Amino acid sequence: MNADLRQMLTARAEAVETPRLDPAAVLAHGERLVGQRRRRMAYVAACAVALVVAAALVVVPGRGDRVAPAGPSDPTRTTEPGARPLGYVQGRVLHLGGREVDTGLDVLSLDLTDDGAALTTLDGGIWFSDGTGVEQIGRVPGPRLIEDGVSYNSGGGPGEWVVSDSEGSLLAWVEHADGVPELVVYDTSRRGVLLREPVPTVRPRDSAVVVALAGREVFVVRERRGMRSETMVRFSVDGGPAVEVDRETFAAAIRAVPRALLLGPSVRNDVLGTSDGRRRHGVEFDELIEVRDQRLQEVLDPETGAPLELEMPADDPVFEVHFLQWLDDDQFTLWADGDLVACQISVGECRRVLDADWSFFEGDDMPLLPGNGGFGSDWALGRALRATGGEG
Amino acid sequence: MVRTATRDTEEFCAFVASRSAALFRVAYLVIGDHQLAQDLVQEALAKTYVAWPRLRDVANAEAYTRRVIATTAISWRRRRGFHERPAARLPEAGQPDAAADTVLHEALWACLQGLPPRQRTAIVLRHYVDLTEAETAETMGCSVGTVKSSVSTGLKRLRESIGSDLEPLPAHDGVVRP
Repeated sequence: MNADLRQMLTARAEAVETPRLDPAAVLAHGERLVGQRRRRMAYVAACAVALVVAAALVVVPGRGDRVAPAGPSDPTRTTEPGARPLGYVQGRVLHLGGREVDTGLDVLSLDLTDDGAALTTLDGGIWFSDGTGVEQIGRVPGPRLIEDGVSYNSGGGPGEWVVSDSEGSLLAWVEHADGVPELVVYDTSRRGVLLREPVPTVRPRDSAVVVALAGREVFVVRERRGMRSETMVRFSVDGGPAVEVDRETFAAAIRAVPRALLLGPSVRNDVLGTSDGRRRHGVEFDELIEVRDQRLQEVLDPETGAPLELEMPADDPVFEVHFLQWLDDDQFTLWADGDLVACQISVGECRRVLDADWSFFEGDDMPLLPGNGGFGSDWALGRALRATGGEG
Repeated sequence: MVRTATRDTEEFCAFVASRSAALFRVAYLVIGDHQLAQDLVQEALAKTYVAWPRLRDVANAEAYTRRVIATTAISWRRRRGFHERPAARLPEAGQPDAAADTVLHEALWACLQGLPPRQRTAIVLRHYVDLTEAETAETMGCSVGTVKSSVSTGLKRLRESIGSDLEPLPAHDGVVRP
């Protein structure tokens, strides 16, 4: 009965009275937008400043209103001990705390450590930037381009190729040397590979994907080629053989991470999900956070299971909220209808730190925010595909 | 220079005159409110005017305006206090056969308005404008996989809401996930 839907839409469209638009009014509005467009660069620069100021405000408890606006060239605002800079990519420019780096890359995903940002590109490249430059640190098999889209390889989408912890300096991913999956753990503070270990597989060409970095442990799901069966193994970054673990062990390890939240969908589905929104144990985890009456719903303390009382800004209702990143042990950021909102657990409040009218940006200018499939990732993929001639 | 600008303006006005009604219908289906749709199409046309010098022909202009309508409608949800509306008050079932289609259409319309904007937009572009999945992705500024999942999820919600046997879409979404 899809025909009914089509008929209904057609009937509705034909029945509605179409207004007579005043071309002069449209032109006048257009001219105003031309003026705004000329000011866009200034606006973008202001966004960068706002992010820097936001970081300064949220990572330094008590500093609050006394903080003067910082220029984008001042990285010290976001390098407090234990704090992680805010980061996003716009075009090919990485904004990291107060720094800007022209990466020259069509970035597909962005992930953060305490030292900088891990970036992925369409060819499977994994890159790192501390805000001063960018260097390639790894490569996974990139996606295959198919006629009507992209087919990702066993590692899932770009946001799943590389995994970081919610604090610290470690990144992990799985490379495939001669078809054999190999876990790589990279330390961004030392700028070097900490661990390179084959992932024991059952059959040749079985695949593997990192699903979590939790302290000194790395959890990898092994997938049987052509089958849905999956098993999980745990590595220690300090070395030693991989150990097959069950879901309860994995859950306990994730709950023990200091910077972790349990989010509603994971509770409802009886699937453990943590606040970075990654897939867990082969199950797609939705990082969408429900909001009712301006309060975050089903955001739970991982240790006690008790709901956290977190109130959203009262000035403007929000509808879609996604987790973005931790800033320190007490504060994290959310994407809320395009705005950036910072929440402080100990205070129980969230506040809007960047009011960004994303609709003003065209697709190519759309910022890419951190996280798995984070905001802007669709546009980023489209940009990259166009750059390679794969689409459009 | 002046002559070029004048010609651009004339061409743009001709485009508005010829296509604004069709664009308004799309805006109305996407946003579900007459006044909001009027504001939306005016905003979209103004943005098209800004981009007009680099649009090569009317077909490009119409596709561009639809894209602005789609992305702007989604972002307006909060800024205009435009809430998702629950589809709780459906027309009553059990009407005479002659009115059955109308009842179903009313129910579908009510349920469509309850969908999140991205799903609603994807369904309108696919099932009313008749865009391909690739064209819908381009219009919405997203990947083909996102379009497929948005349409699929939206239709599933419509089916669940009205208890209808709307045909399911093919399961293949073009994106292979582990």
